[in-house]
Amino acid sequence: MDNKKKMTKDQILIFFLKNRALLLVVIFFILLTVFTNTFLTSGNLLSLARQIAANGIIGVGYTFLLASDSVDLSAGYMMCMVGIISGLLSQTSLPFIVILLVCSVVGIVCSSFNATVENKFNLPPFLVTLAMQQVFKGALMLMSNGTPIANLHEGIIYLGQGYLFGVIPVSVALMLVFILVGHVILSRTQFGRNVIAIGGNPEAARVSGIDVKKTRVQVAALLGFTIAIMALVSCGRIASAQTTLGGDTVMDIIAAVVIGGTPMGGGSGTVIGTLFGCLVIGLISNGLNLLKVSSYWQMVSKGVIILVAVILDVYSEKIYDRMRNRD
Amino acid sequence: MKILEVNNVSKNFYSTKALTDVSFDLNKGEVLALAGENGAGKSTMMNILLGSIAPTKGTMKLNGADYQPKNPSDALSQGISMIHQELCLVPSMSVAENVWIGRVKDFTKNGIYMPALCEAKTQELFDAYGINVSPKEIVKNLTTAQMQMVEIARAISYDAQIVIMDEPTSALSDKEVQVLYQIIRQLTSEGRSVLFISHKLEEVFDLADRVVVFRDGHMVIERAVTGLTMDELVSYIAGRKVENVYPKKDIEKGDVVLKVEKLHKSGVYRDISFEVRAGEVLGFAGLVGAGRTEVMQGIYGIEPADDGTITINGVEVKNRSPREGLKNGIAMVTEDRLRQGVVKKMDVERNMTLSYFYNICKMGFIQSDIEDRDTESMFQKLSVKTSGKEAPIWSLSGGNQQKVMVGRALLNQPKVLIMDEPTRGVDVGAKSEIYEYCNMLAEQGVAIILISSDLPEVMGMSDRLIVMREGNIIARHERNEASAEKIMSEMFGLKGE
Repeated sequence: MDNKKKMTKDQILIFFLKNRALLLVVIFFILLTVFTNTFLTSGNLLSLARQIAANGIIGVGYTFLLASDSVDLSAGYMMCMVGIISGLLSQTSLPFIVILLVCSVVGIVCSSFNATVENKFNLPPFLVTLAMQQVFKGALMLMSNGTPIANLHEGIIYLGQGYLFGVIPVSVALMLVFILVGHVILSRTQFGRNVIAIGGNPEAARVSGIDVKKTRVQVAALLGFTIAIMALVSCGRIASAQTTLGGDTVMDIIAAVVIGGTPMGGGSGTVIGTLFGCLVIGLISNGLNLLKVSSYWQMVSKGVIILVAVILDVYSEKIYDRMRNRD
Repeated sequence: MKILEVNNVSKNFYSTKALTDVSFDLNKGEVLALAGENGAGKSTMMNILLGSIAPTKGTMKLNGADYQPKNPSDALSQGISMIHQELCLVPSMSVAENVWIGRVKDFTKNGIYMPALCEAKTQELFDAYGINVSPKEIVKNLTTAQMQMVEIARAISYDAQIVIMDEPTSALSDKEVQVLYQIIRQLTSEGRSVLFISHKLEEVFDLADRVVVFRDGHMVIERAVTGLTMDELVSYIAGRKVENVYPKKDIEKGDVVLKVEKLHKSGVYRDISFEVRAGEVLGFAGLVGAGRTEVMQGIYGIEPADDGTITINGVEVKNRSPREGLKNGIAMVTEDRLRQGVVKKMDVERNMTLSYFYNICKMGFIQSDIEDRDTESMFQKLSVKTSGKEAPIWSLSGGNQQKVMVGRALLNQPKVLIMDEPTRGVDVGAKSEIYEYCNMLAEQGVAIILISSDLPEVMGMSDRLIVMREGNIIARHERNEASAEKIMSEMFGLKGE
């Protein structure tokens, strides 16, 4: 009896260690409900959902990327560049579907280019994307003359601000679709297994007949597509294509994915976890706003919370191991 | 004189008893061998001695005083050092820096590190023990065997009273094994004790004064090696009498399956031609670095050859990648299980199906029912010991991990199976099971290529034998045609071959 109790207690602990992001979400939720009276209102929750929608979409692509033991620092500026391109195309009379297609193609091509260079010259993704980040930043400044573009196509506005059936924000619905499809792809398909395998041991994967380089390009293409969609959603949300939003985005995404449970260094990954990771990041900003904490302090506290989450990540592995080895 | 006493030590992991009531002594200046199958409890015992894990029950005494190491560095400071089975060197640092790693302070002048001092001290150590490696060399440029020697030198450098060696010879060629023997003899003559773990039983007889045998977490026997026969030792380890170590079956040979002609890779191997028939086991003997692995990697597609032809069942094939090799009916169990074999973060099932899952996909989706079914049947066929298909691969013993690797190769139902050192670091029981698979597959008409640095094994299991040296085929023998001495001299390139 006693033993049984202990087992279930352990199981609960293991569940939360494995779903740390969920645990953090629950804690933040409770804290904010108690300490503010504006948090648990439909208006605030809706705006929270819309805030994280864009990150949730690119988070799917980035989960695949980290799971395959790669990284992309250029994603933020690539996103900005795609946004600017969508802004420029909005000034023409092209239909929305063309804008969507062009943006997707640009995202896929740029991101695949990164992976191709890494493959071809055997370079670490960190360095290649560090360099490409500057290229994208320069390109977007050239295209926009350094000024934001307003007057976006109404299709883009709809992606960012529209509602389905009058209640569900289009961006949120889109995010959920991405998360769901991403989850199925990563956990059930050949491609998903390839990604996990090359992240876990690329040499063993190659010897077992998995095309490591091709898989890397495919992962990058997927990331590029999510970057493009994210760009449209986030430009639509503020009804303008910004030139300077790129820098912080990547860090937020990496933080969300890692807090969600996909390790840097690859070999495993969870798309659902990434959703909760995005929620954690979103809740930090949202909560600190509600608590009227200055934006500079917000940065500090966001950093600290991410650090804590990562430390928790390392420690939970150890606790988990110890529990397994206990009598 | 007793230096170490182990009294009634037990260790439980969850409900599994890894060790039960183990007691033995280690005398000063003695070589004590620990023998037993993988999972018998040897590694657990080592980890307890090193302080990596604490015993559930029991006590230990070092030099008569209570010994309760908190961690490996605590053990080290009390005079116990260990040479690990897996190499733990920093590839980008020099040999000397690796030997004295963590003790750079001893080689500083006014706080500045002086490489020359460190190298001189290393050379001194190497000279004293007959190790032939340059202290200045960067470790990543060394061969595996040389790295192993550096690892050994490091363990000695701590002036430990007790040196623990976990399979130190697994990466060494015969020549280097002799150097190691010399080192061990010198250590004992200096009054130090050596605890030695090895699956090569010959080494127990060559080196050890006494032997302790483990089986299923129990100590079966502790006795002097003098007067012990190989058969007795094997039966202690296995718990049964193993009649024939190499149960080679005579199987009718079919048509030629694999034909290799004039395979060439510049600077690595040249003019390699041979054929293997259905049901035949072709052995490759040679020293580490003779080019055997490289030839097989060329055939399978890991590192394609520059020139030459490969024919399977009369059709010429080009294997530019392992994927193509697999498609053309070749599977390979690689030598380096850590680097090219297991994916540590994946479970047993996914490791098993790593070169197979993409063949059972429907519209890109893995058909998990087929995956489960085939994994289960392979578990049964190869009697893999695991707590389940979702167990992490690292929770399996070396022998069972190797069975998973064999299973991975078999799932593709290859026409040609290449096994590169399939029994390295594998216990006696798993070894004979792997030999049984060999027979079973040969009976099913698979053409098998067996590479092994264990000469009795490759001689015992092969129908024909090819000897390689420095990238060339030196000799070909029918079964039982040549003596071990003759093959050995061909491997080494001695006169009178």
